[in-house]
Amino acid sequence: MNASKLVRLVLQSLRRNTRDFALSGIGIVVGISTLFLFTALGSGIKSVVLEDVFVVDQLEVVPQSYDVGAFKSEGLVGGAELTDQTVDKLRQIEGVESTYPKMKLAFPASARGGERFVGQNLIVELVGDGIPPKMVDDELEDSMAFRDWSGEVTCQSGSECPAGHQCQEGTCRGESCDPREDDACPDPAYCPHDTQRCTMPVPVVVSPRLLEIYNNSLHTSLGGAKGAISNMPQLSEDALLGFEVEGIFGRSYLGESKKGDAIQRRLRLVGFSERAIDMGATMPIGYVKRFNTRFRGESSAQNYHSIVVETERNKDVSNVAQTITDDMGLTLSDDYERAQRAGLLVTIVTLAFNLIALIILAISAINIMHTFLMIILERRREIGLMRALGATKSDIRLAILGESTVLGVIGGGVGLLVGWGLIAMVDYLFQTQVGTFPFKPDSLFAISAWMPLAALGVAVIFCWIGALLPAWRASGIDPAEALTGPE
Amino acid sequence: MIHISNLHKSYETGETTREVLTSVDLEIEEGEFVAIVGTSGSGKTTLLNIMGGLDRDYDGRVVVDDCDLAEFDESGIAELRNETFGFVFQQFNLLDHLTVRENVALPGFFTERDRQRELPDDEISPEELLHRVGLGDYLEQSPSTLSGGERQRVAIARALYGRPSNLLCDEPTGSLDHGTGLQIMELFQQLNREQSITLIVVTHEEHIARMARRIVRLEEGRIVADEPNDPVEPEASSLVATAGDAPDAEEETT
Ligand SMILES: Nc1ncnc2c1ncn2[C@@H]1O[C@H](COP(=O)(O)OP(=O)(O)OP(=O)(O)O)[C@@H](O)[C@H]1O
Ligand SMILES: [Mg+2]
Repeated sequence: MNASKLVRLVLQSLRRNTRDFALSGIGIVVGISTLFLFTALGSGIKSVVLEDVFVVDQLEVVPQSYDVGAFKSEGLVGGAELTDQTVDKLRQIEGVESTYPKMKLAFPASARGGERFVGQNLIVELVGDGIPPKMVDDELEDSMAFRDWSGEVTCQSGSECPAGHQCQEGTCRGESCDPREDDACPDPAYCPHDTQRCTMPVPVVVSPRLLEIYNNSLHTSLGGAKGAISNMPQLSEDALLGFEVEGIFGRSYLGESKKGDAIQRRLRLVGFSERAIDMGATMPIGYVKRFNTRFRGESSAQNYHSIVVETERNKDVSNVAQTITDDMGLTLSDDYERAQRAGLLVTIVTLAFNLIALIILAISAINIMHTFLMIILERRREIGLMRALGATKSDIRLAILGESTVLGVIGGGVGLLVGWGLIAMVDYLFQTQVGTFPFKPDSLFAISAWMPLAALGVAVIFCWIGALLPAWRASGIDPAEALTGPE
Repeated sequence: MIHISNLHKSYETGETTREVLTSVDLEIEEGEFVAIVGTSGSGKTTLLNIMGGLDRDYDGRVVVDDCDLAEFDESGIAELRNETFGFVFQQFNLLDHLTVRENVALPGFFTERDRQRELPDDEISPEELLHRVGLGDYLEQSPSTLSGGERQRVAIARALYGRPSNLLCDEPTGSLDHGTGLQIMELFQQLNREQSITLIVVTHEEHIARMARRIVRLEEGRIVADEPNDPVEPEASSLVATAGDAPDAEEETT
C-alpha cells in the first residue's frame, strides 16, 4: 500500500470513533500542554538566571588552584601559568570575541589622601589590578581618560599629547620639571621627585559596589568613630570623579618590597566600572606590568592573574568553557561554576516537571492502547474483510499506526494551543499581579522553534507506543474466523 | 481454475480433534457456475475459505491458476485475494461509515499494481459497477439506508472491483427473502454468462442451488455428489430493471 492510499484509508477510518479518539486524546492534550509549558518556563527562567542574575557572556580563566588543607595555593603545584601565549591560544578558540588579561599588583603598596573629604590624610593599603583599557571603554564617559600615559603614547604633533608632554620622534614625552616648584607642570600633570619629568596621574577606575558599600555600611559605622573620620560625607559617583590620592608603590603598613625603592605616583579616579576589582583600584595594565617588573622582577610581569574571555554569542559560552577546561586544562573562576550550578538547578526542576508531563503522557498512551484495543475488537470483522480484500498484515498495522499518528498530531496540536494559552495567561497574571523585583523579566517563558516541533513529535511517539500492541493484535486477526464468526 | 486434491481439514477444540473436511477432491474450471450444498456444519464455509486463500491451515493440495496456494507468501496470498477472487458473504460485510461508492472501491486500497497505468482499458470504475448491479442512484448513500437485497448488490459490486476471475459466495442469499435471493442468483447467472466469471456459491437452499450449472453436495466433510444441473434461467433482462426499485424492508435480518 503506498503512502497516499494509506493516508486516504486512515482518513476514511477516522470518521468513525471520533468520540473515542477525542476522549483518549484528552490525555495527550494535557500532557503536551504541560510539557510545553514547563519546557518554555524552564528555558525562560534559565535565561533570566544566566543572562541577568549571573552574567555568563564572559568567562574568567584563573590559574589552577589546589586546596591544600585550609589554604588555597595558586600555581604552586605546577598549575598552568597564564601568559601572553595563553591569551593567544584563548583568542583562537572558536566563538571567542576578545580576551582581556588581568594582572594584580604583586608587591606592597599604599595610598594616602582624602584631605579634601575628611580634612586630614588617611593612609590605606592599596590593592590594585590592571586591565586592558579597551575593557572599560564603553563604560566610561571619557574613554580617553583611562589610558596608559606612561607607556608609549604615539603622536604626530604636540597637540595629541597630554598636558606637560611633547611629541618627540613619534611618542609623547614628559617635559622636564622641578618637583620643588609649585605648578611645575600644567594640570593634571605633576612632577614626581624621582623622574623630574611631567607625568600624567595613573588613571584609576573602581567598582561601583565599593561606593555602595561605603555609603551603605562604612559611612554609618564610621560615624561613631573617634576624630575626623566620623565626619565623612555620603559620596556620589560624580563628586568623586577626578579625586586624586598619592600612591606609594613598594611600601605599605604591612611591608616593603624586596626589590627597588618605593616611589610615589599620583592616582586619579576617572570612572566607575563593574569590571574593576571589587575592593581596590583598577588601572591600565601597562602600569601594573611596569610596577611589577620594578618591585617584584621580570617574571611577575609575565604572569597574569586571570584572563577574561568574551564570546561572540551567549550560546557559545558553554562550548568555549568546555574547550578551556577540557582541552586546554585551564580553570575557570568560581563565578562561572556558580552560574552553571544555578542553571543546573533550574534544569533539574524543569526536568522534574517535565517528568510529570511524561507520566501524564505515559498514562494517556495506556489509555490510547485501551481505546485502540476496544476499537479493534469492534472492527474485527472489518479487519477480516480488509484482509479478504487483499490487505496484508503490514497494511493493517500501518493503518492502525496511521490513525494513531493523526491522533498524536491533532492531540499535540491542541495541546500546544492550550499550552500557549496558559503561557499567555500566566504571563499576564505575572505582569499584573506580581510586584516588581530585581531582574523581573518581561516574560517567564522562552519559546524556541524546536519546542512545538519536539512537542508534536513526543505526542506522536506516545500515540505510537499506545497503538503498537493493538496494531500487532489487529494484524494477527484471522480473516476466515473474523468473517465467519457471529456478527 | 481451482484444483483441489485430497484436502483434509481438522479443528482442535481442547483435547479433541475434529475432522471437518475429509479427502476432498474437486476441480472447477474457468467459467463454471458451481453450487456447493450441504447441511449446516457439513464444511461448506471451510471449503470455500480454503479455496480463496483465507484459511491456509489444511492438508492436501489446492491449486489456483496453476499455482499451489501453499507456496504463496503473505503478500502473494494477499495479492491473490485482491486480484483473483471476489468474496460475497451472507452478512454483506459493508462498512456503514463509508458511502456505497467508497465501499465498492475498498479493494483498490490494497492493489499493488497501478491500475491506471497498467490496465487503462480494463478499469471498471465503482460507479460503473454499481450501475451494472442496478444501484447507479445510490452512490453517495450509506449502505445502512439500503435494503438487504440492495446491500448484497453493493457487496457483489465490491467483489467485482478489480476484475477477479472467480467469485466465492458464502450463503449470498442467506439473509434475503425468497424473491430477492432469486434476483441475486439471476445477477450471478448474468455475470457468469456475459463475463464468464467463475462462480462458486455455497448455500443450503435447494432452490438457490438449482440455479447453478453444477451442484456439489457435501455431507460431514465429504463430497457425496457432484453432478451437472440444468439451471432455471428466467428472462435475464428483467433483473436489473426490477432490482433498484424493490425496497424489501422485511429482509433486514442482520
Ligand atoms: N474455528 C473453528 N473452530 C472449531 N471448529 C470449527 C471452526 N470453524 C468451524 N468449525 C466447525 O467445522 C464444521 C464445519 O463448519 P462450517 O462453517 O464449514 O460449516 P457450514 O457447512 O458452513 O455450516 P453452515 O451452513 O451452518 O454455515 C462445523 O462443525 C463447525 O463447528
Ligand atoms: Mg457456512
